[in-house]
Amino acid sequence: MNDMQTFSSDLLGEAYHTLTHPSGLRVLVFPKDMATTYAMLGVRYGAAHIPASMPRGIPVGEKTPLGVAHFLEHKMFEEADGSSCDLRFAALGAEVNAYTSYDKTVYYVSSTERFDEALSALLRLVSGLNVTDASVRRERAIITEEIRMNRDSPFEKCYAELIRAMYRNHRVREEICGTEASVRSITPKLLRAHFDAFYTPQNMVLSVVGRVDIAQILRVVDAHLGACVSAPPKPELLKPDEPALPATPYVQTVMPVPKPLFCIGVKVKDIPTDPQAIFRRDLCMTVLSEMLFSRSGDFYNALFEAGEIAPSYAYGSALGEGYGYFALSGEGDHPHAVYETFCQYMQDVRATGLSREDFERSRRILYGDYVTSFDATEDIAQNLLTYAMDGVDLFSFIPTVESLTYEEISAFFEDCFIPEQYALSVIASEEILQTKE
Amino acid sequence: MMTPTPVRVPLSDAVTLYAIQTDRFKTARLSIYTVTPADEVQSPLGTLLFGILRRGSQKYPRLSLLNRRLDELYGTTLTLRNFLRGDNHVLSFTAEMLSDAYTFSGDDGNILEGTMEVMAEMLLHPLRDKQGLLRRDTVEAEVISMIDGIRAEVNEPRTYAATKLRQTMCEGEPFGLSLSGSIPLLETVTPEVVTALLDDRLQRAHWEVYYVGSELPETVADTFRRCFAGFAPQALSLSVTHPHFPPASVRRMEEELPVEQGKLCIAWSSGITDQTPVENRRDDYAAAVVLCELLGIMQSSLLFRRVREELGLCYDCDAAWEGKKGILSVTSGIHPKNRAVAEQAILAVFEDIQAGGLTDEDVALARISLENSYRQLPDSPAAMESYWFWQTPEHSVLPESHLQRFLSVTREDIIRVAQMFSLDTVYFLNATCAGEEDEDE
Repeated sequence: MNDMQTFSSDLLGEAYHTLTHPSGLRVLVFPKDMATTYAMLGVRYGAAHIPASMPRGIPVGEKTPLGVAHFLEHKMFEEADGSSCDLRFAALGAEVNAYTSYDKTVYYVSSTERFDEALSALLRLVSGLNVTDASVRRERAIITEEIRMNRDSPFEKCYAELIRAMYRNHRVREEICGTEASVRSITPKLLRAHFDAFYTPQNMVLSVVGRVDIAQILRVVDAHLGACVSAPPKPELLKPDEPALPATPYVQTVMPVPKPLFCIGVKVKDIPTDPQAIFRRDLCMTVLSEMLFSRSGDFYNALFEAGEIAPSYAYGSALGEGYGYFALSGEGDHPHAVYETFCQYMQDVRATGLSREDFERSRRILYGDYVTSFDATEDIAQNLLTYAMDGVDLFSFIPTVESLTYEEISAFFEDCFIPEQYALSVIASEEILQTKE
Repeated sequence: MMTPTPVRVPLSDAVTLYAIQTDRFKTARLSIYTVTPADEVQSPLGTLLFGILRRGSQKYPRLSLLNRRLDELYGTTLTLRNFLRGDNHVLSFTAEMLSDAYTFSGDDGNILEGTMEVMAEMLLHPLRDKQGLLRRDTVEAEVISMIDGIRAEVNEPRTYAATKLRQTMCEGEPFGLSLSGSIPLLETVTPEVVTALLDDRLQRAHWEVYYVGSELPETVADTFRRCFAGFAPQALSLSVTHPHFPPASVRRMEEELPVEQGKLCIAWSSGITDQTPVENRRDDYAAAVVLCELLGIMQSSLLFRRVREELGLCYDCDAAWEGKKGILSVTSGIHPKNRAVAEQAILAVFEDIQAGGLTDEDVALARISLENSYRQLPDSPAAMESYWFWQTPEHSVLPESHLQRFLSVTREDIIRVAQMFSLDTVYFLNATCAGEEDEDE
């Protein structure tokens, strides 16, 4: 435990400490005088991860069923007697929950009192798996309802179909929960194998924010993981061979929506692998997304004033292990006309160049958002965890944003925004798709 | 950690500021709530009016210019909210902004003043034509947008089902009205109609302004007076909210939508509301809050444990408490083939409580959960604002006192109060695209 480092920000008046516990667990502690203390424990195992090797009899590679990480997240809450461990947290006045993303599974707990006990319960939660045939069967029914619920959202469906259109092989194209069929193929034995492979301290990161200090947190961690000194390395992960171009430029789905929905994507090629380079690229994408698509910008306002787009409009970018894209979505009577406007707008910007004013405006917005995120222990814990799992310091945000140049963003735009990289997903009723605008 | 109490500053007969000065945050929050009696016609028109106001003003004649001004203010967000507080209709603009202490050096902008200036522009100085009417093109565009919104309500089945439950249950009451109105009503709207409504609302109003941030209450008040100079409406009388009572027989309604998952919504009522007095040491309102907490709000609620975890019938099964009207409701997403068994299971949980099938541990868990929620209040400007806003009209009950009421509730209180609730309405949104559920291999 001699690698403890302290990072601080004079601007924000904040600091945090980080070290690696002998068990391999990375620990980050951010003291903050708030009533609520928040802990987040991230496991480097998400829906897009595919193990290249597993014990005999366990499917590997592309045969790994979809939705295992998410199923495992559900089952981690089960006690040895089959009951849910929620009761244990509830008795402490602590709130516990979890989520699965494409590149990690995160468990989190918050409380205003008895935090050490709540953290202890969280560490216990991720250190053992209790599953039986009966409990896995029952969980399949619950997850199936979750899948159905998600499928009833046309907005989510439109977005999911866009990602499927852009990605041919990467598992980012699949639903995090998996499918009803894949969930049926998940067994206690398979869950056990994946738990053993990925739920090791060295494959986890813990962030804690609130009225705590590092010695206090280490005492709790020691009590649970003191005996763990060497965990086996996690299995190697398959790196999907993903082509640079979208799998298909257009996809349409029939749903009985009153007004068509659209989602436009731009697939980013050449995804960096170095943590600092990924971080910088991520910020580049966020700035560029704000410059091009914001509600203050020419693209949105031309469509809005022409009545071609409803107020329910969203935009953003995503960058992860082996994938990256821009996406914008909305509702409008003429999605193909919106897409043509998008293509024309990008062509015009390529001819005239990006606006320097928009560049400065976007950086100012990013700065405001970043400072705002230090007002809630939950947001800090989330960002601290994400940055640590991505291998960067939370406070490197501002210097990195300041170091971005207009020329760098422009060069990235030139490289990225070419029609071959675009894809369009449309959801509309059968009648509308038949009449086709 | 005590929750700060707002300082009340009357700004005029019709406008009151509630300001919480605190240095705990790097941001500030400002909300302007406009409250009017809920009305079948005036409320949807009010919703339409606020949509029009959000589109631009005399100084910022285009949405892009208005948004750019907010961007200059470090990305201040401005959110329009629309909801019922009992039998009154609330439309509000909420701004979340950076504190001046974190602006760039050399930037002399006052973010609070800048934000309030934008809000005043929208509310007092919308775009008008030469006749003084709200511009026809803006009105027509917002009418189309609102009609689209009504048609799109089915895109979010859970919200749609919860709204239909409220409307079915409270049909004929102000609390049962649609805040968006109907398409035929919106199609009749003219600039004259909506301009008259705006002018009326600028002459007779009830505004509650909430601020949480580092500025002193007097500074916020002075800023408001400067930005809203000339705004001096008469005070508007609000509706007295009446409790909702159960009907003679249970209301049942079923609709169909081409979706995969059905939504089952069940509501009980009793006439117990936040206005119910404590008599003979019987605090029925507090008991009703704890009842709802243990039924379906808290971590590991009875519904979560029995309907989801034991029976595996659903992914979500949550309760909600409408304290102004005294309505306790449950919403769950289920496969339509499980409709009868799910309804039976949810009703059985409630009936079990009424029959005394409640442990001291269940009650203790609900108390702990509420205690935790109340302790978290000082951490969030939004939560503090919400707490005080829903405490109207007197703002006199401190969160700590409020919490004490819940902590005093006993198992027997909950059983007694549960027995006072009757099943009121059952609404089911049938999913016609559910298909057959595959059996496990």
